[in-house]
Amino acid sequence: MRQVISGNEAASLAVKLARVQVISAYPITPQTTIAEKLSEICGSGELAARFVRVESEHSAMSTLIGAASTGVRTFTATSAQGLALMHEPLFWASGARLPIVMVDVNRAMAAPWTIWCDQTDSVAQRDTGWLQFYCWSNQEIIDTVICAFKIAEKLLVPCMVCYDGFFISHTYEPVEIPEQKDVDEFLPPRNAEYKLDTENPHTFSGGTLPNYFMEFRYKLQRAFERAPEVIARVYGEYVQCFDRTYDSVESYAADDADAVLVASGSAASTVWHTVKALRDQGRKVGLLRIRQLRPFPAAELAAKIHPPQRIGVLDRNLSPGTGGVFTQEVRAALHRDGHTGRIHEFIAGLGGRDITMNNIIDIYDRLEQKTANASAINWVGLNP
Amino acid sequence: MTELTFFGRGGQGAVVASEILGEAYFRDGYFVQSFPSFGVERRGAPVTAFLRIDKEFIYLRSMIYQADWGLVLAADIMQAPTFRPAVKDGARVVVNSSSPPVALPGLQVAYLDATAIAFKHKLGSQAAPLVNTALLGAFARVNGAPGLDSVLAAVEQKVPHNTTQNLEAVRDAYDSVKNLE
Amino acid sequence: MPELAVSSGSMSWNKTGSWRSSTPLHIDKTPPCNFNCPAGENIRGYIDLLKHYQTAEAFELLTSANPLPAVCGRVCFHPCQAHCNRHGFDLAIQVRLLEKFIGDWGLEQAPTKPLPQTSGRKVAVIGAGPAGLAAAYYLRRKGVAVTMYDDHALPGGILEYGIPAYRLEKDVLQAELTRVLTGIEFHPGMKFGRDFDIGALVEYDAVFLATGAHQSKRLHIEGENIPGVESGLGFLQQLNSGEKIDVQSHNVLVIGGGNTACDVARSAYRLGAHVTLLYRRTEREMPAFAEEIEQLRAEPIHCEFLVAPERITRAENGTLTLTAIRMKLGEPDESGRARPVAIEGSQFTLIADRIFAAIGEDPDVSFFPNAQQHDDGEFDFSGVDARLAGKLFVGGDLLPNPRTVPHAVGSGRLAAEKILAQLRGEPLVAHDCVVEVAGPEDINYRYFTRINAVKWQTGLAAGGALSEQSAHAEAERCFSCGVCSKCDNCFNFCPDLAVIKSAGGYQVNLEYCKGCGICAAECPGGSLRMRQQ
Repeated sequence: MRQVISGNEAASLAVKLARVQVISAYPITPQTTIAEKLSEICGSGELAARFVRVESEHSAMSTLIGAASTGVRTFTATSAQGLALMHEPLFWASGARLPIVMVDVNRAMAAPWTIWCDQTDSVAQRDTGWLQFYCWSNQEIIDTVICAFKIAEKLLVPCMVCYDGFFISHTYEPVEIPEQKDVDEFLPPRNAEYKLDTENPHTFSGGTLPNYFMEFRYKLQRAFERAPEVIARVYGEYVQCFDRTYDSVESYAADDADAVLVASGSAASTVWHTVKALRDQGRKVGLLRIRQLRPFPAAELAAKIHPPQRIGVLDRNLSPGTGGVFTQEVRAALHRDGHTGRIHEFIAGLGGRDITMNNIIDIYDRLEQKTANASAINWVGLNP
Repeated sequence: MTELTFFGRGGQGAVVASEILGEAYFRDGYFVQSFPSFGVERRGAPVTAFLRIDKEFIYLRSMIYQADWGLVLAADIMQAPTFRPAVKDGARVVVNSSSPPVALPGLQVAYLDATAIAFKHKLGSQAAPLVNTALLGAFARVNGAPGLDSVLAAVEQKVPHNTTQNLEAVRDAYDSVKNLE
Repeated sequence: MPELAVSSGSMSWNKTGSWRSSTPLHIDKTPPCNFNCPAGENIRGYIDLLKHYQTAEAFELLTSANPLPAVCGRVCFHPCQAHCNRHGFDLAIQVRLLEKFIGDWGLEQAPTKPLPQTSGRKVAVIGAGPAGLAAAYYLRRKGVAVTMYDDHALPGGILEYGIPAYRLEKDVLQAELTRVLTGIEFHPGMKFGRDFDIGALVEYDAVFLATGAHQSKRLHIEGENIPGVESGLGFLQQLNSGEKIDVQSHNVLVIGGGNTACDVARSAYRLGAHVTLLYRRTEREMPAFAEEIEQLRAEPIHCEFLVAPERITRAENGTLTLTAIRMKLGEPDESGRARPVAIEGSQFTLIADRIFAAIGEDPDVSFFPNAQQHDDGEFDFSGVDARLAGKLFVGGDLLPNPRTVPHAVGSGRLAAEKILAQLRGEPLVAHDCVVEVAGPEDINYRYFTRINAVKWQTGLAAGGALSEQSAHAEAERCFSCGVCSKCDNCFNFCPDLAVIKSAGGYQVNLEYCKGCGICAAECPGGSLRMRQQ
């Protein structure tokens, strides 16, 4: 069934369709409407889940760590400072191998005070041991959240689904909503091998001496290394049921392009629109959309780049002192693959600054005309 | 692709209006994309909301800077210096105004007294009448699309309170909107 | 740009007033206490003065509407408390105790104020009950010479002869009457129509008639005139006149459910009688004041509800036998109360030594044989005598009002105002203007802390009277409904700093007020509202 819904409604519907059992969330703009919707459908009985009200995001994540340990399916959502407050238990969730799914509605980190979009909040959590997906449409949100449960539960790794605050979260567009019976078939109830059970007591994540700790980290790393294959398999099953699928790196007109822009989130959507318009004018430009930051799809990306293409990366985030996080990842991935070309770094759209068609045309102009700086950040739309 | 911008003040229902009209167009078989101007929600503050409609999926996700249509929920906003640059030359405008508004060069303007319609159907409060649904009825009439039935169905779906009164307001507006000579 | 997001100028350029579609307005609404006071007291006003320990000013304000605060602090049924917006939240403001406190302060400490010289205008007041007293008091204070007549030996009417001393101490009444009657020529023992007539009134510029309702309603049953069957009001009058009444260990039956019946029953009980009160409806329908019923029920007085008398007989030895019939409640009658219907064959008998009938009183206007009475009970004296044409004013129980002391006081003051206006040759400013009452919906209850009602009430009532401190503490609980209490909420909450403090309260800077309505939403007492522009 197709309906016009917002990004946050898409996320909430996916949670309902996934038959999540425990939800704990603390409201924060622009995530708030998810917390509202979920508490509403838990209250009305539409979803037979326990909604645990908490006084902070730290408590929300801690609640889910306890709940997920008992073998149930769990969900939370947050943004910006809320995600930062969760930082400490995020490590616990991954170290304890709990398949919690979380939505982060991307919002810039204060100060100065802001409620608007950029990805700095979630990219800053890239070392916490969570899978990270980045969506560009409401359809992708509903599909990805449903898949995230299956992926997380197969890998025993928590999973974060990220999308841009307001540009996606508060935008209404048509979405094909999966039928409950189809989702039930695709996503059976969680079957936890290890769980808290008073009949069969175990200690979980207790004090671990140096002779074992490293091995647990090794296993976590191995899970991330297995992830591309598991993710591909899950999406393979998904397309069977729902006729829609996604790649970790998606190419649009990039194969024969002279200038390729790597982008993620809602910005990639506007890049797509711009590429289409520029192609109509005969310009050979292309888009590579990255859907994952963790694990970073290094091999998939390298396979889709064809030297001597001019490569730019559009980052809606900033790691001060270095630059855009996606740029760092792209550089590392291509270097590992033996790529020697220059990677041009473009920073745009911080703190909700709009990324317009003109901004993107300007980026392609600079890539094509070789006026982009290859050794420093190219700021887009900045008024210095 | 057609781009519409709603101009209102916090509390008038501009954002919901963009969602309802998007729903109405969707029912007529269009792809739609509606979104607010992502401002701080302040009652009384100028608010804009956007709607794109197209025959294909809409990838463009930036704000609308020069709209094909301006839907104005409070007449005085049309006189603000920021209004004229926000719509294209030749753009069409539907404005809530009790009297014929002052014409602006290069615009085709239609107007209706949506405030009176809101009071008549007791929509919103005396201090903050809800004029959004009436404006949509007027838009459907002057544009010829989406169909009145689609607008009514969209209102019925998206407005859970005072639904009947809102439907009446849409019809009243559909019948009473006038083109500025 | 600076290194960090720091403001470098003011936001005054942003004239947010242009966004406004509604404007906040400070308005005064009438508080429910004032609105429901039959005497027309400014209750909120004097409570506000008590908040500031201004007891003398509170006394001034209170007596500007009611010259009998010590009396009313004891006998008024205080509808102000029943309608108080704190009622139901925790505990209504105990206006009764505050009025009593102010009244008692006045008896002890009010300075004697010189009365104005009389101007030559003369008014006769007939009846020295609460209505007559109020009229005389306000007329005299406006320089009118007042001559007051009453058929009793003492002034006070129902206060002196009807209300038992345990409800209204004689010394308090006397002290208050002394103040009220200062400067007024009082003629006791003068019954209109018997000891003087219209001829004696011709010399006055106006006549105020407030002779009350002293004629007990008849039971209309067999045996109601036999010895031992008496009027309840007569019993109270005898008692209040100091007559010795021996009902020690007697069986006394009281018939009726009004205030008089309650007073009779409770007085007889205090004289040692075994008292049974008979009422034909249930306790819920009793017309007596709630408080009086509550006190009656707290005493060892037996009540028989849903019982109506049918016949009284007297044995040789003087013992009375009352035959009564059980009733049940039927459809509501014109008064809105359920009509009692007799249950066939349910007769039973009660033995008594004395029976008091107290089923209501009527005014006796036999002094004007040609007086008309309308269906609503209002008397029409307009045609009684040409010599009184345009000069006769009536009040108290002669009006079709509830028969209460504050109603009588209110009617007396209003009559004084009418007379004064007439003497000046001016029309009376209309009192029946539309007022907006501040109801519970106007109160922002979140701003107020609930108290433990029982504990608080017990603490206040300890000793029976308020100290200055406890009066202040009680006054402090008042919401000051409908009036700006200068709490600063509008000032503090305005997001645009558009509320400005001024000498009289607050002003709104319309250049910046964007009409958001937060001030009105956060106004604790409902004196701010948004008005559509």
